[in-house]
Amino acid sequence: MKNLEVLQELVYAGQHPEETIQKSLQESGKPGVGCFPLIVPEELVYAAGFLPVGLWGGISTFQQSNRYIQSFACSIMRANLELGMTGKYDGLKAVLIPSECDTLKCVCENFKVAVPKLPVIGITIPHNRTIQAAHQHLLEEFDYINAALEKVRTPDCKPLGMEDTFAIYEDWRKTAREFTDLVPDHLNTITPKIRHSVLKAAWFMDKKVYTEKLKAVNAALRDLPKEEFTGTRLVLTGIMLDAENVLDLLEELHVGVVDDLLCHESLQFRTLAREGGSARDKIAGRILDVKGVSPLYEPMKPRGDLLADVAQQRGAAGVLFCLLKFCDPEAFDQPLVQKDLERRGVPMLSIENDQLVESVGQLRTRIQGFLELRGL
Amino acid sequence: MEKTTRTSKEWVDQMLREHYQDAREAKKQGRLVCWSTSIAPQELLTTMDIVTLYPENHAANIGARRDTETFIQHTEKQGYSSDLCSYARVNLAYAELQHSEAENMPMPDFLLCTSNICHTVIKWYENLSKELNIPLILFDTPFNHTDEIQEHNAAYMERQLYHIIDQLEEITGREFDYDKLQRVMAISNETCDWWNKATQLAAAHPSPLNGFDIFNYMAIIVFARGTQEARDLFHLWHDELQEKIAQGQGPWKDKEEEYRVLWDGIACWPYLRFTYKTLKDLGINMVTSTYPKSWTVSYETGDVRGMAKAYSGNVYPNRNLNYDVENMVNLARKFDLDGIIFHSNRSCKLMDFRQYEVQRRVLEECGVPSVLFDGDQTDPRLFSEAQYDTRIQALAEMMAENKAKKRRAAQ
Repeated sequence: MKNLEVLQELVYAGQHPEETIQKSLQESGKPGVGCFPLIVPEELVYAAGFLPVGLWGGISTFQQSNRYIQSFACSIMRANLELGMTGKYDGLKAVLIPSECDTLKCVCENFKVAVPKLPVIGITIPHNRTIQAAHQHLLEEFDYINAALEKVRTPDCKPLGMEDTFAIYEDWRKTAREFTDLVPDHLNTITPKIRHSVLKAAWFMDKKVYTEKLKAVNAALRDLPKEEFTGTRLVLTGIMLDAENVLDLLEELHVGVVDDLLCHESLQFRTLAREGGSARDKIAGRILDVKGVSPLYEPMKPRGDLLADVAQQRGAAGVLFCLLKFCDPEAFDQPLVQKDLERRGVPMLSIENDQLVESVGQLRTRIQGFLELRGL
Repeated sequence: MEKTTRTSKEWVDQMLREHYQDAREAKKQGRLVCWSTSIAPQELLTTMDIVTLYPENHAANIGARRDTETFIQHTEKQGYSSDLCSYARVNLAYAELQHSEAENMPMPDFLLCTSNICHTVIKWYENLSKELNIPLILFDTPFNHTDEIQEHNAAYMERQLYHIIDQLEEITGREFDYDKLQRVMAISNETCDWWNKATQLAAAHPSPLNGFDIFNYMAIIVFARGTQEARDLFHLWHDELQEKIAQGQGPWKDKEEEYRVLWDGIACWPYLRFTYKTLKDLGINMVTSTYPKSWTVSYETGDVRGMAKAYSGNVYPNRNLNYDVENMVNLARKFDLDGIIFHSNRSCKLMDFRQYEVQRRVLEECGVPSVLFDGDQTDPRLFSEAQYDTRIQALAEMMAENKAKKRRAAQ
């Protein structure tokens, strides 16, 4: 199948960030701007004529960053600081760092000093998202971000209107949702690692280019017959699950990922845009509406119920809570999510994970135990 | 000021006792109780005559009495990670157990959370709100990554304060009294003013203040900032300290002040005595901390936007690295510091993750040496007496060497 070759292309792109970013920068001819986790109005970067690049860590040994932050910081932030300090981000024109949690606030400050040649654009996402003042604030914050991007603009930037940019991003989000809707019927082909790699690739490619390739993958999947999957269907939640050996372990244990509420994956595209208003309004509206992103305040914490709904809708046997080590917002959510899922009769297993998990022996026993105990 | 024969210390003890007693009584009488974070716009609650309690104060109190074990074990059994803020872990357990040997807080009818001190409190209060099924009022104060507070952030905060007033009217079923707010704002400003003046007197040589006392008085500035009683208490404390300066009295009766240090971060409540005694034995007096300024929430009476900005800008964890360094360098100069002690507090990532750079830049700018030790505000398992002792010894040696150098240079 030709289109499944495109699938392999996206998997490769997701698994080789550096190479993919270089290729994307060359092909687009645009300068890159890095976007730190978790929720960043990437559309503004794209509209300003830059190529947005997702910076979600990727290494697990830290030396230089230890001069700035203690070892009990989350590994994504330690990795980003380390990569910045060792020149891996030198090709970028700036980085956007939102102050969505305490570690991000500090890393934003340290990055300015530790990586002086790379301009830092600190941004604020309001937490009081259900009140009108937050919408107004966010639109004004967009003006601030635009002004900051203007300062780092270079002649090779290719600005695009906000409405056109919004359309490109809407198309990506719709296509990504279609992909995640198709996966549960093709769990033998789209293993946990393949699913993750495909979605991850979006962070390193021009969204327009990526979307066309993903459309081809979706078309190929639609042409394939539905697959019978005899393994266990699970939903993932957390900040991210990127450790290759853990993804391999899921595959080995015959687990299929039928959906996720991961910040790194579907939480970037699952929230629909509001009706009406300008593109700017809709970009702001989506940030205010997104649910399940643990650092962003949510009255009465709907994440557990949201997960239960997703699990039921996808026919999942349970939820795997991928608790990123030293991530406080996640650690506060986890006990309450567990409680809500128990109330809804959805089994949940929480696994502490990092960007690199050294040994999966213990994890194998825990996941196996979880599956067996529930006859999964 | 009210005439009193009490010392300010006796007054503090009395206010602390009455604070919890009165709150329990008020709850029995059907008054609304709010739990709030420690640097919140209490002006609005005081205006609405709402009984307010502060879980951080309460957790510190439990920590100081070394009574945290039951609470910490309870939250860990609930699935909370031991890496989380120990104030939160203690309080989330208290919300279930509702009893402590230290003091008992009546349960809240609603919550007020202000994010100026950290992001962690948002998650902590979000959990309380869900578990107790009560409203949470959030005052979100964006982190200031720029040197100055950006105007759109100030506007967002101001709008939220008016929204909070609406929420309070809805919760209480009463109309908000804007005239009373003016009076409360005026008193709050005066209280902060006396608090600030009193803590600044520690700049004298020798300091009349044993700096660990700041930790005791701090409980009052947290829970009574909008009251005349607190204003008068800090006025009295100020006068007592001034009297000691006039008489040339230092921090201790039985020991001279040899070195003056700043303590960065929250105290190690379970080891308050040990951390204090280790310093005192070496003649080290903690004359100031990064803390006092956080409660100097000053603004023009009646200026709601100014008040919003004060809550965002005065709290150093909500400011950028440049502010942190400048603030500490100013303190080092004003208080003529010999050294700085950084508490790398496992509970507080926001205070911790800039310490290394602040440490380097302060040394570079004003030559003040420092040490950093690992500890925690209330989890006793995360502090090592031996490590603390060794680090303080090292600081004492550096300070002694600097003093010797200065003496040689002066000869």
